[in-house]
Amino acid sequence: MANPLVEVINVSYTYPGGIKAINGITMTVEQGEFIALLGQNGSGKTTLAKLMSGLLKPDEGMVLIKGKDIKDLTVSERASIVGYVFQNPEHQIFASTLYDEIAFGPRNLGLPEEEVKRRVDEALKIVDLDKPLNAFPHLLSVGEKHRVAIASVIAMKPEFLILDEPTTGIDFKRSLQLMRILLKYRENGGSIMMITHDLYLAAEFANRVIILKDGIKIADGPPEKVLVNEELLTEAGLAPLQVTLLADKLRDYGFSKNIIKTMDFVEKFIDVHRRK
Amino acid sequence: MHKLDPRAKIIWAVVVLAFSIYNGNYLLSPIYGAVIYASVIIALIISRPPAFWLKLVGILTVVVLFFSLIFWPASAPRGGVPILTIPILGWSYTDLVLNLALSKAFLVLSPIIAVITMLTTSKPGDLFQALVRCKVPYKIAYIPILALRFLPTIINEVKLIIDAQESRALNLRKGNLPSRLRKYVTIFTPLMIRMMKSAIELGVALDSKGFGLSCQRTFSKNLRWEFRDTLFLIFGGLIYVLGLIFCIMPFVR
Amino acid sequence: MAAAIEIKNLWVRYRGEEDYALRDVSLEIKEGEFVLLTGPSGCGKTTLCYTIVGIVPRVIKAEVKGSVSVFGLDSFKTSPAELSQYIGIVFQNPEMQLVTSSVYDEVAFSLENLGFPPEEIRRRIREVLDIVGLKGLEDRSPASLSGGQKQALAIASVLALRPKIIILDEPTSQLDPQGTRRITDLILKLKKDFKVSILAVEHKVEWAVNHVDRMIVMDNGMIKMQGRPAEIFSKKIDVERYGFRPPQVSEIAYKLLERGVILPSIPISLKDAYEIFRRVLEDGKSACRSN
Repeated sequence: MANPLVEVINVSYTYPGGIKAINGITMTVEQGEFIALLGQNGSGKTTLAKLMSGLLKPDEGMVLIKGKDIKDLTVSERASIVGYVFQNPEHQIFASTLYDEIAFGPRNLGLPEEEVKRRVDEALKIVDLDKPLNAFPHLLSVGEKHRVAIASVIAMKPEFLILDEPTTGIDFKRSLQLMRILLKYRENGGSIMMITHDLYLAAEFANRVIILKDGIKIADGPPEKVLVNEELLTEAGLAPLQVTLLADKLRDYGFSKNIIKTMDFVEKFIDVHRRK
Repeated sequence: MHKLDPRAKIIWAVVVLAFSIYNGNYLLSPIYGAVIYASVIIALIISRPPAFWLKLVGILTVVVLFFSLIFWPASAPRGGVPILTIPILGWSYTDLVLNLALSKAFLVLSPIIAVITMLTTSKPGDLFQALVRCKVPYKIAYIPILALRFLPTIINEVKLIIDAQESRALNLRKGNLPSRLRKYVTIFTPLMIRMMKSAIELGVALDSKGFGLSCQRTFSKNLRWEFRDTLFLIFGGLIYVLGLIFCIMPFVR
Repeated sequence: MAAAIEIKNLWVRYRGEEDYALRDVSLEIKEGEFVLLTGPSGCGKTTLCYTIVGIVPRVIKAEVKGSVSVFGLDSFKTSPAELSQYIGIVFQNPEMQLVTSSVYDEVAFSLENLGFPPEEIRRRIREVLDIVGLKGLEDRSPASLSGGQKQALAIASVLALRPKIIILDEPTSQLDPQGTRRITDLILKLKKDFKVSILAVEHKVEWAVNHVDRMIVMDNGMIKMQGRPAEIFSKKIDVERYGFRPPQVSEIAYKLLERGVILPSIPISLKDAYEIFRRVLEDGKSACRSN
């Protein structure tokens, strides 16, 4: 059996100021997963993501990337397997042309220029950005900048893509657009971990939900199990989706409270309704 | 030190600066510089600042002393008795040269430490009020407060940008100087853009809070000059004047 | 009820831009109303807010046509000092709108700038910190607060001027669910207990629909829809176009309609949905029984 993509083994991390952000977390990421990482601000989500991408090194425990200790990998090796998209694209965009911006990652990996060109074109296609290659990235709209940031990371063809709150501060239309891009990415074989506060998106798109609280995992499983556990959600400062609460209220009519998706509720309703 | 009116501390820092700049033959005796230096160090230590500042001052002292011993000998008077020789480097210092170097070092360090003490023992809001009461226009006086407020924010932004670029395989530690400089552009450009945007946001926020609307501004907590502030200034002033006289005396007689 | 905000035929074009950010916007907000303003990014929501309080064109230069008045005062001609006693604005990013080194100083800031007497300032600070739930944290630095606390502080510093209307520009977009709850509770408290009119710009509408008097949906610089939430959601919302997600219960209703289920009305709250769906299922049952 092939090595899992990422293995986090009993990892702990304390920030220089003394705050213990991660207190013994163990988890694995396999190929083809779409993980939603939830939890309050300060629960350790970003710290965990940075540990998994190598931006931080654990104080205790190990992080393995495809079987190798992340400490033994070079910056390039790490970046070509684990991609990290930050929340605000303005923290990355520096180049004077769209091409150079997206080519930055592949060039840093030392790829030949023809390969770089191929990757830039492919990345632009995946994020559906139809702008000239010499466009000035800073003048693009907010939504376009988000896509540039994602494209510039996807161009390195990482097998594991981490996104830190990609839908915070953008409207819902763009959020759906982003989800479509991620699904396309996953179709091509990638795994995704998305840090988010949006339970709706987690329910509709993720196939695994992990909840952190005070640096430890308090939940790790399929959304149908995790997002219907009201006690767990409350502990994490979250609330169940309307559809779950509604299904629970209608339990006398045959609904179970394990419903987290709009369409599942609709199907069940039609089913119950038709039976009459 | 914390309880003193910031105006007293500002005056103290200015006085230290004045005494430090003042140039005279007394420079040939390091005692004067040492007295001022000792006074500011004592002031700093009794205000018990976070360890970071003490470490910084320690490092600064060593660095300034070191550079002093290198550069000042060039403008020292000739002659004098050699008293210090550093074996390996073969440098030789006369007493005159040594006095000058030490003196200058102390006088460079003292105003800096006085300002550090002032900043770490006063609340920014109080310092601001003190400056305005000393007739500094409040729009200018507020600039250091904004700097203090946003310094941690800016540092966080820089860290974020470095992380973002590192996750795109940027290795800042590798490479020769020209390639490293090019790499720093990828940090610098987003930082500048973020700062410009933030400056606009900040300007809008300040405006919406009425900043700069009128020339007069009230303060919710008024600073009060207490007797201990006067005492502090008299006492401090006495030390410096006495020190000055003590050093000048040998030359006057 | 008097008109708190009155906008007539407003056109706004930023300096150096070709397109108008706001096109022929006319709007009236009455005293005591709670209005939700939404629409896709770039539709002009923020521009509208900034223009109402006069930031556009005074601070951010723009070409402006039409009129905006707040309680009868012309937003373009009235001094910000006077205007700020009627209307306040809380910005989206908690970080860049906290400009002092302590919670206490932050609330005092506007009052001091406007020359209020010290005793009055001290009284209002105590009052306002209590309302927003930051009592006891006077000496904390803004940087040490959580996101929700930062926004609460921003609201407090606006509240200290006792405005009659507060505009909140996406106040919860940068917050986690707990912070969002804190701010939404505070907003509701301001509306109910302190009779402050609220104009909130939000993408997340689920929490607001039960409490707002009116919703305004903008697109491309114009007002496309306005009315009570129940009216707005009675027709299927084109999410792709308007950029906000309707309440999930409404979304469920739209999908059921598509599949031929007959519903008496479209629910916008959990309670509505339970009543409506239960009745449909019951009627289905009884219809069957009567057969």
